[in-house]
Amino acid sequence: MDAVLNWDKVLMAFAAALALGVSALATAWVQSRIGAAGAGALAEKPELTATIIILLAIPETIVILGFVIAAMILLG
Amino acid sequence: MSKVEIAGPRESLLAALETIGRSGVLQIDASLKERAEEGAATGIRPLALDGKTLAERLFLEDLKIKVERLLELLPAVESRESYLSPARAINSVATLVRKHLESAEVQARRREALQAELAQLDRYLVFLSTVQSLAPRDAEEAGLEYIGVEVRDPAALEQLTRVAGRVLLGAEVRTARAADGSWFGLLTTEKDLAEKLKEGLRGNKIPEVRLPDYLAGLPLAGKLDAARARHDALAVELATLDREAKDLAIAWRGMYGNVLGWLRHRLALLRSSAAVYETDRCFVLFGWVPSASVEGLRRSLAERHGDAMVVEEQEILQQDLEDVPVALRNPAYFRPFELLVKMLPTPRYTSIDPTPFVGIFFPLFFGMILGDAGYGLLLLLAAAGLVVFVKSRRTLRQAGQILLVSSLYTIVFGALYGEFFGDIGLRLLGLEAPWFDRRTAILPMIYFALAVGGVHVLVGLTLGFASSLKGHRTREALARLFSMLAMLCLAGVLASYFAPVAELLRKPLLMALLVIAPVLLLTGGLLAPFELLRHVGNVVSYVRIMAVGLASVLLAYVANRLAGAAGSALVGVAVAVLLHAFNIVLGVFAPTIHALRLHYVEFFSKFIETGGRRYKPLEEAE
Repeated sequence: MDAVLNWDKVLMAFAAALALGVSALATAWVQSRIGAAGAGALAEKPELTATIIILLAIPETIVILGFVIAAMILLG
Repeated sequence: MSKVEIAGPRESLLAALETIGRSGVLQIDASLKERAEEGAATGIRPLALDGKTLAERLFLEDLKIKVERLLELLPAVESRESYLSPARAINSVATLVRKHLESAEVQARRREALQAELAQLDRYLVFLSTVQSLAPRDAEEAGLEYIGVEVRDPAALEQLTRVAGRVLLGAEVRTARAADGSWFGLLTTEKDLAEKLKEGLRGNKIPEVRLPDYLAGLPLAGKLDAARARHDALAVELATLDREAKDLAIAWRGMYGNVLGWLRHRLALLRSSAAVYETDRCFVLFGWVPSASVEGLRRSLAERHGDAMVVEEQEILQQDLEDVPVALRNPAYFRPFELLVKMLPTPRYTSIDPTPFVGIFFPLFFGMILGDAGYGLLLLLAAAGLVVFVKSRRTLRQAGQILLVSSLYTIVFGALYGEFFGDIGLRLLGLEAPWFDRRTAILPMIYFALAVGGVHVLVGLTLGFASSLKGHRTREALARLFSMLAMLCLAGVLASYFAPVAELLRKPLLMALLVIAPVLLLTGGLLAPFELLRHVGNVVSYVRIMAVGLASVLLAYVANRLAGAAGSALVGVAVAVLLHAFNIVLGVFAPTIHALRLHYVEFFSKFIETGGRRYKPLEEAE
């Protein structure tokens, strides 16, 4: 019985880690693309700073959603 | 903003523009005349400048170029403030600037030549001091000649030896590495055969180091001494030139700065006359003035020019709305937050100024995320320093004012979370969290962040509704109203699962949603459900307040744990200071970026229409 319970916990932890980890990787990949393009754009047009910050911050929602799902798996 | 038409005698145009420029409230807009209704302004034509004004403009434009060039050439040093009135002495200034510019240009050319020669001499000195040790003893007395070569790639050294051996069997090659890492080679051969060897080197693209003519004929040691002497002489000449330029700058920079300011202002006036219209006897100009300043402008024109000047307010037409310039005017508390709003394109005149809402919510979010009384106190001190000591740099001062308010919120939330440099407050001072401990209360913090997000998004939707009503876009206003109601119902239904009292409301709320859905489709179109989904996504995005805050508090906690595990009090304090300092730096950037994002993306998208024109009154015309 104990072993089954432990497996449940392991799987839940693994699912939570997957939800957060994969979404974090996705965010990182998107941000690296936006960041590189944004840095290039900023070199030519510094007035675009706010727009670049917005563009860079938009994909962060992915990891926030991943975090919410992970929290729901572990605590919900 | 008020649309105004100003008219007066044609000969008083420049004087009137001077008065208007001094008042700094009018933005001239020639396109207003073009949009005026047919027949409303008959007999008005674009102003043709008289010869005298044109000549003045050309003269001043030329003078401005010269003064700017002179200021570019003069070194930036502190100089005396100038009290000269440029208008009275402009002809003398023009004569003087010509002389100073000539002398500054001669100096600049000479400085450039000296710097180039010095750079070359530095290279020769490296070469000569490197090869001196390579030269065979008594080679010069024996009638031998040296050829110096620079080798950029060490792999080419072998090629050099091969070429020298192939071209001339008797050539001796010695190489050495200079102090700066480059390689030099010295080839020694008989004088008669030197030319043949040089040709061979050229053919193999090995660059020979060619010394200047004044070093020719000297022995190697003599060459080094002569080069050093020349280097010293040039350095002295350069220092003299720099001193002269500095003296010139100290004496005149202040005056020319003052003259340039006057020239810019005067030229702005003269240029703005291109946007003025005329009748047979009068000038007429159209523009925008903040409504509160119209009376002041009217009074100052009347005081200086009597009854001859007329300022008339006109009705803002529907077709003008796109072009009304936008000025952000807020109470003193909110004014620093305009800095954050101005980072985005200017909102339209029909849109709502978001500054007061940024002033309320930005520090709130910042405080909620950082939420540590100790960090807040340190930031409060830093912000107070910026506000008190930085007077000249407006942007930095405004940033300090924003940080000041944000740090106060940080202290308040720090007290509520029971955080003082992480858990130091709890461990040393016994400060318990009166609200909840962020490290453990994950779910309550998520609900709290979502609730705050819901309120923020609803405020945004309300403003969007008001903005649509103001712009007479009824259908859009209705769509926003029903989106808002749908969001409220959704929030109520969700709350009914957590709060037992609200459970009774679940059914009525679901019924209300069923009624709202078709109305939303009718007013907002087929995209309305997606729009609603976006609003829900926006609210979820506020969970970052909790997530980033959790990262911050855990970092502070880790800093304290590591410091405790250090073993020595001194090392422990150093580790704690270092990690907390790092956390504070992160604690300024992360909450700022995230709070800004929540405003720019989640909040502004609900009501702001960008594409407005920034208000630039005549004084800022340059």
